[in-house]
Amino acid sequence: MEGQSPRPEPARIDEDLLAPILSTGTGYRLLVGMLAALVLAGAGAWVYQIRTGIGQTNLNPPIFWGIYIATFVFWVGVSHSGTFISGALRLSNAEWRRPITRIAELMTLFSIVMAAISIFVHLGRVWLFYYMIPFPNQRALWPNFRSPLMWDATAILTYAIGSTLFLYLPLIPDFALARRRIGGWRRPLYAMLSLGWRGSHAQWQKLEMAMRIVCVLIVMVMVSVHSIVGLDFAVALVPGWHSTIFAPFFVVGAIHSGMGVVVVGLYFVRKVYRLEAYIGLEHFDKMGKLILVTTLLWGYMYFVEKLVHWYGQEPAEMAVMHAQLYGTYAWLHWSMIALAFVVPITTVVFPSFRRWPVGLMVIGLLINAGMYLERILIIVPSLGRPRLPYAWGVYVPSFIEGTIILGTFAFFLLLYLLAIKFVPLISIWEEKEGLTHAH
Amino acid sequence: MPTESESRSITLYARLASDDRIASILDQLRGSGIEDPQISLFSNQPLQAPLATGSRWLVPVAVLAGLAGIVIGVALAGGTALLYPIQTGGKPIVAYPIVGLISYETMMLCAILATVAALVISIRRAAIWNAGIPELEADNEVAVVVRLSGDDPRRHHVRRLLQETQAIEVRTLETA
Repeated sequence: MEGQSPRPEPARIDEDLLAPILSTGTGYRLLVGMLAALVLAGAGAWVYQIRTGIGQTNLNPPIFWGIYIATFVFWVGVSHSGTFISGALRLSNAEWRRPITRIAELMTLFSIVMAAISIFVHLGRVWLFYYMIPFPNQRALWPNFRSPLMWDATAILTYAIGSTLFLYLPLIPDFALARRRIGGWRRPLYAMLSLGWRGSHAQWQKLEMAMRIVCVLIVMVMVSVHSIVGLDFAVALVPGWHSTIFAPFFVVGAIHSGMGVVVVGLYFVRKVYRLEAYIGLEHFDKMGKLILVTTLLWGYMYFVEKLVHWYGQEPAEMAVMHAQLYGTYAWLHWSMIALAFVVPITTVVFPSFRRWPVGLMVIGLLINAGMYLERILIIVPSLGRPRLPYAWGVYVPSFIEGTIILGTFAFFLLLYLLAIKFVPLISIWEEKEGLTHAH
Repeated sequence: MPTESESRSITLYARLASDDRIASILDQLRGSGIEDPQISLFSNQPLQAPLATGSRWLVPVAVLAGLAGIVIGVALAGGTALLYPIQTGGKPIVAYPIVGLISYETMMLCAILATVAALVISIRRAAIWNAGIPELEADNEVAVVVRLSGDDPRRHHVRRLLQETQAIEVRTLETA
C-alpha cells in the first residue's frame, strides 16, 4: 500500500499492537491525570447542580433545552463513527478497514456513554430516571411511549448494548492472544473475556457468522437511532424543527461528525504509537474521500432544509432563519458553515491534502467543532423564537453547564486512554488475516 | 457392556507448520472413512478450509429472537398504552406508528442479544469439549484433531497418515 511501510510479519504484528498495552510513558500518565482532574471538576459541578437544583443552569423559558441536549445530539452523532466505518466497511468487505475498525468502535462505545451522561445531566431529578421503565406502580405514573423521549430511551439502550457487543465480538480472538502473551493483573480478565477461545475452525466460522449478523443489525440500528434523535425535533411544532428531512439530515450529519472524529483518532494513534506500518496514507486518503462525500451530502441536505423554510415564508419559521442567518446567532451559523462545509470541501477535494495526516486531522477537528455548533443552532434559536414574539428569549450556558460539558469531553478522552491499556487498538487477528489475503 | 478401552475415545493431534496442506489432509482423512464431525482444525487465524462446521443455525436464532422482540415491543408500547391508568376521552390511545417504531428497536435488540448469547454458549461449549487440546503458539501453525472411538480399527492408519503430512508433532491424547 502506497505511503505505508512494508507490511510486518505476524510475530511483529503481535509485538507492535500489544505494545501500547504494555508500555506506559510519563506523557500518558500526565494526560490521564489532567483529564481525570477535568472529569472530577465536571462531576463536582454536576453534584452541585443536583444539590442546588436545575436553576444552576441558564435554562429558562422559553429555552428548556440547551447545551446538555446539544451535547447529547453531538455524542450520538459521534457514535456513528464506529458503526458506520466498521459496519459498513465490513459489510462491503473493504480490506482497508482493518486498522480502523477497532479505533472507531471504541469511539462509538464511549461516545454513546457520553450521550447517556448528557441526558442524565439534563434530568433535574436524575435519581428518578427509572420512571421511564414501564411497570405497574403506586405512582400511577406510566411512561408515555408517544413521547419521542421514550423512543430515544429505547433506541439509545438498543444502540448502546448493540455497539458494546459489536465491539466485543471481534475482540474475543484478540483477548485469547492477550491471555497467552500478557501476564499480571490483566491475564485473568483476558481469560474470562476470551471465553476459553481455542481457535477451532468451528469457533472461527461461528464468530464470522455472528459478526455478519450483528453487523447488518447494528447498521440498521445506527440509522434508526439518529433518525429518532432527529424525530425528537421534527415531530414538534416548533419553528425550525418541523421538517420531514430532519431524520436523514441527522443521520448524514452524524456520519459526517463520526468520520471527523475517526480521522482525529487515527492520526493520534498512528503518531503516538508509531503505527505507520499499519495506518498508511492510503487510509487517510480513503477517509478523506468519505469525508468529501459526507460533506457534500450534509451541505446538500442543509441547503434543501433551509430552502423549503425560506420558500414557505412562514413568519415563525422566518424569525428563526433570520436569527440564524443575520441576527443573534449569525456568527455561530456562518462559523458552522465554514467549519463543517466550506473548509472541508475546499481541502479534502485535493488528493495531496487527503494524504496529509496532520491536515486531515485538523479537518476532522474543524468538522466536529462545526457539527457541535450545528447542534446548538438547531436547538437554541428555535426554542428562543417561539410563535409569539413576546416570549422570545436568549440562552448562554452557565459556568456550571460549561464545566459539566467540559467534564464529559474529558471523560470521553479519559475512557479512550484507559481502554488503550487494555484493548489492542488495531484488531490483531484481522490485521494478520489481511496479511494472508494480501499474499 | 462396552469394555473400558471401547468406552474411551482417542484423540489424534497433529501440529503442522502451516495450512498449506490442509485441503489434501482433509481429503485423505475423508478417503479413509473419517467423517467431518470427527475432524477439528485449530488455528490462530481464520482458515479457508473446506470443512463445514455448521454456523448457519445462528441465522434462525437471530430471526426468532427478532420475532420475539417484536412481541415485546408491541407489549411495551401498545400494552402500556392499553393499560394506561389515566385514559384520554375514556379510551386508551394506541399510536400504531409508535408501536412499530418501538417494536423495531426491541426486535433489533433481541436479535443482537440472542445472536451473541448463542455464540458465547457455543464458544464455551467448544472450550470445554476441546479442553485437552494443546494451544498453538505460533501464528502460522495449524492443528488437525481427529476423534475416534478407542477400538476404532482405523486409528493406526489415521495416525500414520498424519505422520506422513510432515507434521511438527503427532500425539495421541486420551480422553475419557
